[in-house]
Amino acid sequence: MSRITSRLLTALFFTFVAALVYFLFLSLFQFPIRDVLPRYYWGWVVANSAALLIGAAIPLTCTALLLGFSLLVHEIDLRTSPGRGTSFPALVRTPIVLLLVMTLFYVVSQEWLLPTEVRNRQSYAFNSALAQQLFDRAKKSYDARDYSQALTRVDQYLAISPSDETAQRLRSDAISRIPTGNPAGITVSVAANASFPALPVSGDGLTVQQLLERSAGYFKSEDYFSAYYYATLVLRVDPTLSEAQRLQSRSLEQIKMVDVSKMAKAQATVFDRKRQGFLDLESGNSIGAYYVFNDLSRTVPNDPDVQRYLAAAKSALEQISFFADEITGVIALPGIQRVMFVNNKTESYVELLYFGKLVNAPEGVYALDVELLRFSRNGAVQLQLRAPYGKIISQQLILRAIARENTKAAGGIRMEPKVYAGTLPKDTGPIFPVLIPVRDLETVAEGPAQLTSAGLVSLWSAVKVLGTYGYATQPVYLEIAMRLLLPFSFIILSFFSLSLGWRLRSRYLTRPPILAILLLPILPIVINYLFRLYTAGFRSVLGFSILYGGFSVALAVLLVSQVILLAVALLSLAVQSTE
Amino acid sequence: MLRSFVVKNTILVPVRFVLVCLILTVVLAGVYVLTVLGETYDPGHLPLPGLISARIMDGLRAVYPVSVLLSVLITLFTVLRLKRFRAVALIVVFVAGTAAIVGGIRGIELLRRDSAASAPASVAVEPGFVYRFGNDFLYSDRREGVSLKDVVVYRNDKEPGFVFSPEALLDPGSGVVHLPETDEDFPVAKSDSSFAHMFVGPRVVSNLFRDVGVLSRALGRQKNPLAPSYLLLVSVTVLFVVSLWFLVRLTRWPLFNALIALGVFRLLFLLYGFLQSKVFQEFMSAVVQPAYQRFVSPGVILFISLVFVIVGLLLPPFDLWKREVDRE
Repeated sequence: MSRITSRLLTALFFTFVAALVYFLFLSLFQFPIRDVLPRYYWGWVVANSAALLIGAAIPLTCTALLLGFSLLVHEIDLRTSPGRGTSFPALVRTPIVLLLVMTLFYVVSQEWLLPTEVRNRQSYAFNSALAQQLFDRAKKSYDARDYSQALTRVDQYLAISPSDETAQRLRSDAISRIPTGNPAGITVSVAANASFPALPVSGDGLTVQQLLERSAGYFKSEDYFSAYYYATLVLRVDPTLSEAQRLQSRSLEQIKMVDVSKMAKAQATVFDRKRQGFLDLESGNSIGAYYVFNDLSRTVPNDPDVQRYLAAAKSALEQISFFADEITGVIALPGIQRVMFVNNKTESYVELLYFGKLVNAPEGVYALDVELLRFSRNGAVQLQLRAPYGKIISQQLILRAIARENTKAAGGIRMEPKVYAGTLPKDTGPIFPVLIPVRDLETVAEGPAQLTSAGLVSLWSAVKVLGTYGYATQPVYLEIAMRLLLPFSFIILSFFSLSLGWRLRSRYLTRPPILAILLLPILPIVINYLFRLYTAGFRSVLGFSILYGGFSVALAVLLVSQVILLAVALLSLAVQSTE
Repeated sequence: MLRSFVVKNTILVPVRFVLVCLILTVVLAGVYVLTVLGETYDPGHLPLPGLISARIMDGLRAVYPVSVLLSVLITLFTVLRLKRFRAVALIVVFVAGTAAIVGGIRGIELLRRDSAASAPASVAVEPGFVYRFGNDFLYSDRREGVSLKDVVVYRNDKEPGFVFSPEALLDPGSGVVHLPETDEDFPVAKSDSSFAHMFVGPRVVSNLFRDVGVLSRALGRQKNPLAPSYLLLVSVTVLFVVSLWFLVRLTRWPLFNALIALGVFRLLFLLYGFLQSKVFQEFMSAVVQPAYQRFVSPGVILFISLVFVIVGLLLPPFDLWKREVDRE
């Protein structure tokens, strides 16, 4: 390795190490102690420092080159280099190759490492907020003597923050207070989270023939609910099977015809309720059916019909509503806040949607403060409504929330949207298609102003998303152009720094005076200013080109300007004297 | 021979100054105009050449004083090359800089007055786009001139949040959308999803532009360039930059000198911004009589400039520095 290269590497090494130390110190003091858990302290500090270092890579490289070639490299190094007597660019060929390799590293860091570190930083804040909410909810449940719920929440919290002694004590207390002889508390908790096999999808691993035989057997033994159940399963596989159709319809008839007066009173009550729930389910009143079977599941918990049809009713109601307590469980979690977008735009109407908050939780996607406005192209409001809660399932926004328990006699508590103008569609009720995928919604909510840390691929996909849902795409195109500018800037500004550093090199035979050494930290600040001004200038030029000419014109402007600047940079290297 | 040498150098320095000043003015004014055109982008308005001519005078007025000051600083490095008569050259730079600002601003003002093309900035509202204002939103489906049709506003603090208006009016000058139904105004330029937001740079640049803008406005928006207070401000500002001469030859490390000089040049704008700040003005109004208050800012700049000049005089002889740097 030549002396020039080794000195340049020394300058780069010390500049980047000094910058890293500075950014680490800065991050230590910038740590948002109120928003991020202490266990993420070092992770956050490292992620923040790495993000700052990558963001400042170009001015730092320029600083290293300027300092290296103006302070560390001397004429004697050039004269004693291999190939002495040749031109300056020939003597600095290795540093130039080194800079090209560094540019590749820079691009990888910019496109991969920087978004990763920014995501890490965000996830630390997200997890901390989540943990705080879980712990608060665990304490609330504990105070309300719902120890099994408190245990569930505190376990979730400990999964995020395992070393929290307060939470561990709370967990021990909750376990000790759950009665050992009554596992019902835990059973209920598990049952609430378990997904019951829905009626149409579970065949217990049996063949169609076996299911049909089972249906016929139950019919013979006058267990019409089971007979109906298995016949329905058969029809799910083969809707044309006449034997199954016959068994299903006859079972239904029998269920309707059964005379409960001959049964014992308790048995008659249960049968009557089962029949009511069953008929509700058959007629499409899945919410009513759910409440009936939910009540029955407590009275006759071992009745297989109740369990089957409770699952079926729950599965059916989830297509048209959701439980209000699902919202209370997740809405405090971090998510997208305050987003409005064009949900649908046709020749006859425009539909706008607003979400006060949107949480993409493992249990589902939930919305708070939902408002919808649809107006016709001739300027009339067709529909305007507002709902406190919503849930998005398969890109359908459901705005009907119900209580899990039937606390009122007539159909439980329902939270329906408040309609300000127009009427709800008769066929679908308060269910509206949300055309935008939730992950795209996150992009829309962040908006173009927040995309500075996204990778090029994410930016490119954001262009399509934002344009479709009522946001200008030009800011994203500008961000893409600015991202493409950076590798060019790395090379061009490095070459300029190399030549300028040599041209304005120190004339001291030894080190510069103490004053200059003490003032050295000012140099990267000034160079950073110059770099930011350089990019701000290009932001204006490229932004103007995108707005007035489009992205292709901006790309052409970018390429032409960079070629010219690169030529000037190479020329500035070529004219340097080695003497 | 001596006369020709003096003449040559006396001409060389101002010629370089004028050239640098011209280049900087063109480049900075160009970037300024492109930025303003981007911030006020409206596809339905004037063709581009008309828009550029409408903005060019504003651009010149905004960047010209800064271009001159930066040119003075760059010319100091030309003076470094002179073997003799550097003091004369520095005085020439000072006079040229002061005259350039006073004369240039006067000329720009005259051109602005004569130019019918000069127009106020306008802000566009693109139909079909959602504009976000913090927690509130604005959407319009169509636009006919300054009339926006089928306008929807979402107000976070209202219930219902959506308000539909068949029509709203856009004031292109201020970029404000006025909703007659609710009597509300929405300044589109302030929306973080507007085109104007594309041109917002990082904070260090915004702060620099803010500080530069304060001094630039003070130097560039003067109806009477021969007013004594204005002449005083211009001359002390140019003197400040010329007094940075001591920095451009501070050490035998030219790169260090150049970067330090640039850093202190930036501090000039910070200093003037502070001197014009409300806090400082209130303090001055308490301790200085009103008649003398307008001389405080130039006085502070003059004092610092004189300190720099004295420090420059205390430095080792220039010839020694030149010999060591040029290795003669």
